[in-house]
Amino acid sequence: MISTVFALYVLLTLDAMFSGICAASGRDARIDKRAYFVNAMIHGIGWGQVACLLGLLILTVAVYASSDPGLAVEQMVGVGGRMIRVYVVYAVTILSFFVVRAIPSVDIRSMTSTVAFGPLTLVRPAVIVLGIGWGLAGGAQPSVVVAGLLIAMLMVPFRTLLNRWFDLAERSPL
Amino acid sequence: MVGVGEIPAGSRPELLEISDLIVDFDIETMSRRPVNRDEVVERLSMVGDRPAARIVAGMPANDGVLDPDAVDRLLIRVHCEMQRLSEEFQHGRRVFEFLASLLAALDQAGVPPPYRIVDIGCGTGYVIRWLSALADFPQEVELIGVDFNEALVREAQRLSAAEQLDCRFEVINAFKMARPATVYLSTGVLHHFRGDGLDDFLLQHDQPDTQAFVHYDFQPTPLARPGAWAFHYIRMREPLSRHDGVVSARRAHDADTLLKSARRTSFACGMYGTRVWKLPIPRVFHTLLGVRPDVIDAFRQTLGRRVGRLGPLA
Repeated sequence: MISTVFALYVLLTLDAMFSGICAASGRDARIDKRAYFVNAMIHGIGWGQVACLLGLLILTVAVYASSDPGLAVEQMVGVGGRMIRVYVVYAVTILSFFVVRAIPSVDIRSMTSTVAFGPLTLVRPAVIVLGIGWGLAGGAQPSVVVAGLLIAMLMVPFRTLLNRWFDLAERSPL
Repeated sequence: MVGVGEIPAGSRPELLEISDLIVDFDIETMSRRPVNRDEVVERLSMVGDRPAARIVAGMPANDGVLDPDAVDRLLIRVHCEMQRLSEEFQHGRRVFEFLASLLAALDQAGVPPPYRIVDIGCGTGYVIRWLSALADFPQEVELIGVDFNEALVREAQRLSAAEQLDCRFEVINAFKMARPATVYLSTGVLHHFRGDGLDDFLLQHDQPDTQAFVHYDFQPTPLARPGAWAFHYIRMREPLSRHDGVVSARRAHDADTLLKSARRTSFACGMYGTRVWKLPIPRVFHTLLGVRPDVIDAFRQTLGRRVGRLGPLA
């Protein structure tokens, strides 16, 4: 159970970190933006922790709401394990394109944006839904299904909400 | 004037960019003219672009005149978003690699430095600032960005000062500078010139000290429209950015049109970098190049392995 929770935590934190970069991009026109993006990643990770806590709260409520809390926990671990398989494929795909992007070629680097990072950003909400759907497809009691749906509703708009946060931060600089 | 309902069936409506309509300048005095919001909305409606008309209708106005400060702030945000795409597509380094070969060729051909590189329609000056911050030209260069929009130029100046960059930005007609450029440069500017305007723009490059021009713009291909839509949808936040980005790709000139106009000048002109390597995959941008005929041989040599990207020069 611990390994499943840890893996999901790492995946969510990675997603939150990249979401921070995405939400901050296109807002600062300096050439050297390293410090700016480190700051954006920290904010992304920070809000990712808030999402983690909310997720944990949802799961806790789902366990207490269940007629069989022990079975609910067991099913949650099973659902989480199946979700990880989907998210690991997505994460590894993204990270492998960062390896490709390290090649010092203008064409290769710009192509990673065209064929990888752009489309992968576009499909992120679908991947989140697919992961949770695939996790729940293994079978789960209603309280676990509801928890899964609530977590999807939290994570799908996470990047949009982070954008709003950066909109506010732009008006009153962090 | 022709109303929307009067556009003949099957004819292609005019494609207009909002950013071209919400600002107006007197070309001679460089002063700003007021823009009537309703007139812009009507013009966009007449060509059937209701989403664009809605965007403009939502812009703040005083007594029907678009609020120039609000327009400036919007355009600065839009240019910041555009810079994001330039960064993703490595545009600064792409320009640097090309200019490095070109300036080396000028050096070999005996053109005396300093080489004055002028970015026309520089906006917030991304390319010039990138070159100033990260390019290491062995030759002595002057990096200058020019634009008609004072607010964008002020922002470029602010950004270059913030990073202590050795470049400058001016509100001036690029072809009326006291000293003309050695190399004129632009990104995403050519498609703003239509018909005779394109000829006039390119003919103005024909100045005695000018050795070359390098203009990057969208390449019109079947992939350009869906690609531009997808990228502007994913990466841009401002509705104006999303709208104009797609329209820019749609109204971009093909290579034949560009070459036909460019070859009226005394430069040897050709296209550069239309395909990815030797694959039948079009690049997002193609490059219109004009170079003095006596520099061609040196340029082919200094391009090195990239010489295969250079189309016929004539």
